[in-house]
Amino acid sequence: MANTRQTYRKLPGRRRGFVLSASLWTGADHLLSVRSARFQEQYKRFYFRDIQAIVITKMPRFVVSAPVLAAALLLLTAVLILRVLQPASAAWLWLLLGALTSAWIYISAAQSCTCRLYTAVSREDLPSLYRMWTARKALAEIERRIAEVQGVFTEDWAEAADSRALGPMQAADRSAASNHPPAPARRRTWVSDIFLASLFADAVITMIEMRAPSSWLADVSVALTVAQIAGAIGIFVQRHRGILRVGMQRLAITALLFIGGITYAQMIGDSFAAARAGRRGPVALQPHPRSEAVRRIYSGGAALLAIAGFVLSFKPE
Amino acid sequence: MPVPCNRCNRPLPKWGLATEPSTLCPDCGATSIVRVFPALFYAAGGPVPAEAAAEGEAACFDHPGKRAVAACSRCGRFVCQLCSVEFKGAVWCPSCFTADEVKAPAASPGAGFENARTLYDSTALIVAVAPLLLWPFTAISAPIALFIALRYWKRPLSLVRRWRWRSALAAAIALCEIGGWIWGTAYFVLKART
Repeated sequence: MANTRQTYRKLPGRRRGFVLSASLWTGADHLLSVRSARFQEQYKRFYFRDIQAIVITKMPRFVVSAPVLAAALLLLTAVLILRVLQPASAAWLWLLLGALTSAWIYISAAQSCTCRLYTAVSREDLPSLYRMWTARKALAEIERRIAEVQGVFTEDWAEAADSRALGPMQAADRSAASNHPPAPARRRTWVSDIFLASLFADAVITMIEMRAPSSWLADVSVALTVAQIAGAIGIFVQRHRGILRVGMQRLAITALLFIGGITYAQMIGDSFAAARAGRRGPVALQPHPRSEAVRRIYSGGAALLAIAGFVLSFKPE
Repeated sequence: MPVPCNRCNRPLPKWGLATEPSTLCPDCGATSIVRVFPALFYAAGGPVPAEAAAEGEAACFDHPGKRAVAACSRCGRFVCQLCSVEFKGAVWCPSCFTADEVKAPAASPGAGFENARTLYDSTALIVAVAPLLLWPFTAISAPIALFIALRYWKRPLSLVRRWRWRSALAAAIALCEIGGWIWGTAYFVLKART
């Protein structure tokens, strides 16, 4: 048997998360959807001869990709460093950060989409195509390849399409008619409630502590941070078991990255402050932010995350 | 209606599909670009039903009541329409198709129908780099990363990646970490003696 190596060409669009990523590739006769979880890749093949339809719908997608988050953290760190060394330059960086955040919000709200592919037996979301410009480019390439295999319509197909079933309708019907349909994932559980409550309480306590510094309030804040980390782990477990929806898991990941970012920002800030004061030696890793600016960011960020979590939990269906 | 909106799952209006490059969902107001292809009009999917075997006709090995349409190119068993698998110009029975001989050998990635692969090169790189955040862990992680990088060097990479730079980089970083530990230990031992 001949050992032929399949060559793939990458299509525009790639979703890069910290753990999960997705991309689309074209082979000789099929489209390859690759979902990667760092240690493993999963593949799905859609043969050009089998693809019935592709639908791209414009809708808001607030996807925080790894490069965007890395850039934001880098800028935030630069702002915190410059705030100590050169306060005048920090203002320009704040402006840059604001402009970039506005651009990201605009693109996420007005230039994003979701893309779905239909075959006779499957309906598959293509997560790598979530921005309109990349989706259009990828669609043009896929259309060309499908036209080579399937040809093009020569009649008014919209009328005829009305009578045809698109995608795995029968399978969906069977699933709906099943006696024991799977329980839908929930928006909130007691674990997510504890997680959100600890986030909110931490934000409030940090705010109080800024006005009235107290060592026991700092200890409570550290304990609440530990509760947040434990809650986030619990959310991952519940999501893995299909109990919780994906939104809460994303919030937990964001919260963990935020806590980690703040910790390192504090450490870097302390190092610079120590260097400026002429002190030498290692800077201790603080479990709780000490700088007023970092505390403000921490308090505000934790409050925003908690509010976002409450909205996710109580948003009507 | 066959084409649903991705956002609300309600049917998109056919007049919009037929005349516009993009169409507006009347329910949620989302704009969709819809491309429908001729495969939609092919005969309804599903396996072709196998015909019943008449008296004296060859029957399928797995379905004795069904007429055989071909013989497996590997084991020679008769297969019915339902059981026959056409692959690389030959007909296979389901059991031979799932056997290792039909699957792609490790040396020829992409030749088979794999639906998942473990990425040893990425694993080695993560094991080498991630513990740098808390550097004392590199004493344990560096030898592990080096082992993974070398032990699985010849394992197939991702279906879509070509180069082994991750494995090479992981091995290099792991070697640097091990070197750092050896140098640091020697330095402190010598300093303690003097």
